[in-house]
Order: sequence, then C-alpha cells, then structure tokens
Amino acid sequence: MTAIATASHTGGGDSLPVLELNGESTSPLKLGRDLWVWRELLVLLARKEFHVKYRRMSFGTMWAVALPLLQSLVMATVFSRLVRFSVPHYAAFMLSGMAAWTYFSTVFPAGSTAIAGNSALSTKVYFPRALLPLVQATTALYGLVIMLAIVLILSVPLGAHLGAAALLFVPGVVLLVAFTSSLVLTAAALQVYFRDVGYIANALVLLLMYLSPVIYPPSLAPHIVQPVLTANPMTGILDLFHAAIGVHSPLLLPLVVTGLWSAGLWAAAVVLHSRFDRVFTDLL
Amino acid sequence: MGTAIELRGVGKRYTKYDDLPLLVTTMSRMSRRKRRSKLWAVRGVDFEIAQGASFGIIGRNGSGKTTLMSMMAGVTAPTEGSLRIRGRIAPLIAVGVGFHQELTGRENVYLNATILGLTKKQVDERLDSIVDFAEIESFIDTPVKFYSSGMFVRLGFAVAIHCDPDVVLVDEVLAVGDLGFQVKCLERMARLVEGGTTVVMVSHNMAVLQRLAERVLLMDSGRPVYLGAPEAAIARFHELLDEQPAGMVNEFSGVRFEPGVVEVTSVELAGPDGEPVTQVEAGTPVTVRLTVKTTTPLPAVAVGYTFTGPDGQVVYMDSNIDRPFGPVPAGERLSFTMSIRASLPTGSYSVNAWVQRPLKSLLARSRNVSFYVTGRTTVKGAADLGGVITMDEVSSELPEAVS
Repeated sequence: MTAIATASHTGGGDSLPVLELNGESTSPLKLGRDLWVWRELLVLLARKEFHVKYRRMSFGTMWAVALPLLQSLVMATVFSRLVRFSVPHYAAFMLSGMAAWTYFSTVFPAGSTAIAGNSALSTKVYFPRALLPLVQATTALYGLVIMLAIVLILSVPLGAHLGAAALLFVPGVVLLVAFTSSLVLTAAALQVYFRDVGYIANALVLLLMYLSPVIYPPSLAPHIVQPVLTANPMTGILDLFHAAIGVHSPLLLPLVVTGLWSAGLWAAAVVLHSRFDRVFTDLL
Repeated sequence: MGTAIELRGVGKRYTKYDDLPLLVTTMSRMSRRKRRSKLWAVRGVDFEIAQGASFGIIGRNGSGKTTLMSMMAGVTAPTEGSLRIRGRIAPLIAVGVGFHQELTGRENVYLNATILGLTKKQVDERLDSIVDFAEIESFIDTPVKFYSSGMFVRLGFAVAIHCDPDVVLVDEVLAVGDLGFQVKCLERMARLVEGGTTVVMVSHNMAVLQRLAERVLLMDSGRPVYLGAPEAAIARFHELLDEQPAGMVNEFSGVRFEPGVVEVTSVELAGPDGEPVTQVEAGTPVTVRLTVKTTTPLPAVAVGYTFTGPDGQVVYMDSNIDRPFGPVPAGERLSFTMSIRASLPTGSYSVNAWVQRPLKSLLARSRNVSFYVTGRTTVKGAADLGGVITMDEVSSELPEAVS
C-alpha cells in the first residue's frame, strides 16, 4: 500500500507513515520529501484549476486557445503597424516574448496570494503549503504550451526562420518556470504575514511589462532604463525566447543575472517554508 | 497494539494581531510588538492513545479542543512539546474540504481522496463503494453546487472513511446530515474502532461520547483537567459548567441588576422522587427549588427560571411576573418550587432561577445547575413534544383486480 501522508517514513519494515511534530519548523529535507510524496495532488489541483476555468462553456477549452490567439493577433497587428520598431519580423519577436510574459504575469500575482487564499482547504488538512503557489505555476503551463504552439505555427508566416535555435525554447521554459516558481514560493510565504505583497505583485507586473524587453529589444531601450534591464531577471528569460525564433544569439550576462535571482529566491523560499510551513495557518 | 497517538507536554501559542502587520510599518519598526499579544490556546497536554482505541475530548467553547485537533491533523504545529501519530490520518474536521462547487461529485471524490492521501488507482477501486455509502448514485456526475447540504456531507464522510485511515479525527461533523445518516456514520465509526482504527472525537453530544469513547479528556482554558472514563469526565464537565458564574446573559440584557437586596442561598434540580438529580429521563416531572434571603422589605417579588440548551440557547423560560407574590419583609427566608416536565431531547442542559421586582430590576440569579436528559436520542429540535410513531395495521388484502 502506498502511504501518502503528512510525514516521513520511519524505517524498520513498518509501512505506516508517522507524523512527528517537535516545534514549528520542518527540516528542508523533510519538506522536500513531503512535496515529492504529495506530487499527485499538485497535478490534480492544477488540472482542476484549468478545467474549472472552462467549465460549462459551449466551446470549453477552445477558449484556452482562442483568447491567447486573439490577443497575439491584436498585439502583433497593433505593434507592427502603429509602433514601428526596427526589428526584423517584429510580430514573431513580440509573440515569442508575450508567451513568456503571459506566463509570468499570470503566475506571479495569483501565486503570491495562493497560501492565504486557500485557507478553506489549508486550515483543515495538511499538505505542504508550498504546493499552493506551485499549483499556479503548474496550471499556467497549459497556457504557456498553447502560446508556444501559436508562436511556432505563426512565426513562419510572420517571416521568422525556425531552425535549430527553436530548441532554445526548452532552456527558456525551464528557466522561466524555475524563476517564477522561486518568486511565487517566496512571495506567497511573505504574503501570509504581509498582505500587501499581493498588491505589490500586481503593481510589479504592471510596471515590469515596460521595464522588461517584452515588446521591444533591449538595444532599443532608452539609456536610463538600461541598468534596470540588466538587473531585471526577466531579461535573460526573454532573451532566450527571442533567440529561439532566430532574432539573435543568446547572451550570457542576462542568463547569469536570472540564475542569481533564482538561486537567491530559492534559498529564501526554502528558509521561509521550512520555518513556517506548519504554522502558516495560524494567521489564516 | 502500539501507541497510535502520543502527546508530550504539548502547548500551542498563538500570536494575536489586532490587525495584520503592514510591510512598511514592520520594516520601519514603527509598530513592533505594539499591536500583538500572545496567547496560549493549549498548554501542558500529555496523553497517549493506543492503536484502535476511541478517545473523546470535551470542554467549553474556547477550551482548546479544536486547537488540539488541528495539531493532531498536522494543520498546525505545537509551539512546545512534541506530538507523534502513527498511521494515515483522516481529519473528519474536514468533511468535504477541497470540494469544488463547479466540479462533479465524481471529480470531487478524486480530488478529496487525493488530499486525504489516496492514489488515483486506489480511488478507482473504491469509487463504487464511496458512491454507495453516500447514497448519491444518480447525482455522481452532477456538479456539487447542485447538491443539498446533506448530500455534500454524506459524500465527504464517505470519502474520508474510504481512505483506510489509521486515525480518524472527528470534530462535531456528525451534527450535520439527517438522522438516518448520522446513525449510519456512528455505526461505521464503531466498526472502524473494532477494525483497529483509532478514533478521536470532539463533541458536545455527551450521548455519543458515552457510547463511543473509551476515555475522555476534559479541557478547560487550554489545560487538561481530567482524563478518564466518559461518565466521570462528563460529570466533572458539568461541575465545571456549574462553577461558571451565571452572569447577565442575553435574556436579561437591558434589565437593571440590583445587587444586595436578595441573596440566593441554594438552588437545586429534583427528580420525580424529590431527590436532587443530574440525570433526568426525558418527559418526567422535575422541580427547580430556589431558596433566597431578603435584606430589605419588598412590595412584591417574582421568580422565574431559565433552561439553557447544549449550545447555550434558551430553550424554556417562565416566571410569575404577571401575578407576583405579595409583600415580603426584610430578613425573610423564602423558598420557591417550580415544577415542570423535562420534555427535552437528549443532551446537556442547565437551569438557573432568578428573583425580580416585577417588570423592574433583577434582584438575584442562581448559579447554573447542569443536568443531562436521557432517553430521547432520536428527537431533534428544542423541545420533545412527546411524539409517538406507530405503524397502522397493514391490510393484507390486495385491491381486487378489475377484470
């Protein structure tokens, strides 16, 4: 019998799970093991989030494709006709950047409030609370895959050259998910104690949209914005997404910056969650 | 049989914020420690529960029962001490938790069972049995938002008991649902205990505890007060309730209290034979006897009494305020007898008596006398109207067929 439960297994041929609580914090190792044990719940919750969104609609999940497609077409038209950046096959460039940005801007605000927002569930049963923000990061993967499919399909008619560079989408997605996850894990933990974090996330998304090279290449940014772009963890990710459709070859520095941000945020997430995992609900 | 649950010096301290801290003020350290207070919700709890035992927790509201249950469910961790539970835990505190309104019964079963620790394959195998127990066959593919609250609870309970729990935590869930299902749940819980499952329950329903729990822990203000046989724990609980000063409760809000005029010397509840009782058979006559002493002459006095039900609501209240007793000199000892039939459903009640200037101030109020009504477990509601159910003789003749 598989023993999925709230705790580690003590050896000795005894398959019963054991819940052992001494004090409020959990060791990072144990937390990681618990997360692994509860992985099935993560997938199920993410699927639920996705399905519930399109429940009771005549076109069902068609909307999941139709809306981003419409958004992409509108943006591609508006930005390539009205705002003229001297970027080769700009529409494809913008679409690719938007794929990454849409993921980030969906997950960050939703994930930041995930622990406090699910109190109905978390005050009644235990599972690692880190699952809740990670559910948001997982659910949005559906949208990301759909967007990437649109990008790949449309980029050829839009004039981009799809080659081996398209493989850069793989590290791009990995880095995007890793960074966004670390960010929401940290933000969601802080948000339990400081409710302002949810609003800060919304404000940041709004602001960063224009302080990240989403709809313009970094080279076209005004001089004063350049330091922001350099320090911005999204620059490296967007750079990979743009490189993947053959706009330019990827640069190393932005990737290092993103890596450093992610490492720092992961460390913060581990510290926060191992300290507060079992007591988040005290404040809910 | 080993130990299923072990608590050693468990204490839980909550930090109570008057408002949630703001990031800015905390960072600038402007409001540190000003708007928060610490509070021990539970302290010094030690007990062990053997595998397959059934254990009850009782206490007033706010005595720490729910905090203890939350810790055993692993939802929150103790601030001090240690807690160890062997086996898969099914917190029935959480019946229907994670049920999503838009999802169908079937989808919710999968979700809920996964939260409780089953794998998808295990749910596949048990789905029929779950649906069967919940008695919702034809609704399993309907979104749960169309369920009645009874169906909701039935499905939640069905999922919980089908996840092979080693430890079941029950927190008053059985108060919901119709009676037939409650009986079914109680039977099922008794079966679980027989089958080696450890059951811990919090209940205000003393009859259930007396029937199902082998040992009962009494909590008061976060401290364990008594641990032992259910009867003794319940008796101790009633004593505790009696110690509570009968303050100015709802029914007297707005009425001026005039102390020092009348003093209560004794109050008791007597059974049919006139002896003081703590257990009363439903429907039998009882008397409330109140003795008071006056210190000033009174032109008229009215007396009355209030029966309070298990959840603190007034179930019955009467007085002779419309025809008060005549003038009373100072220094007099007065005895009153109030007779009534205990037409109440089974449960814990308390009664107190009071003296009043008719339509004016309240002069004195006795302590609460707690008692337990037995014998009418099937009755729900505020009063037992003495209903009797019979089956009329069934006619064995079939209606004649029309040829």
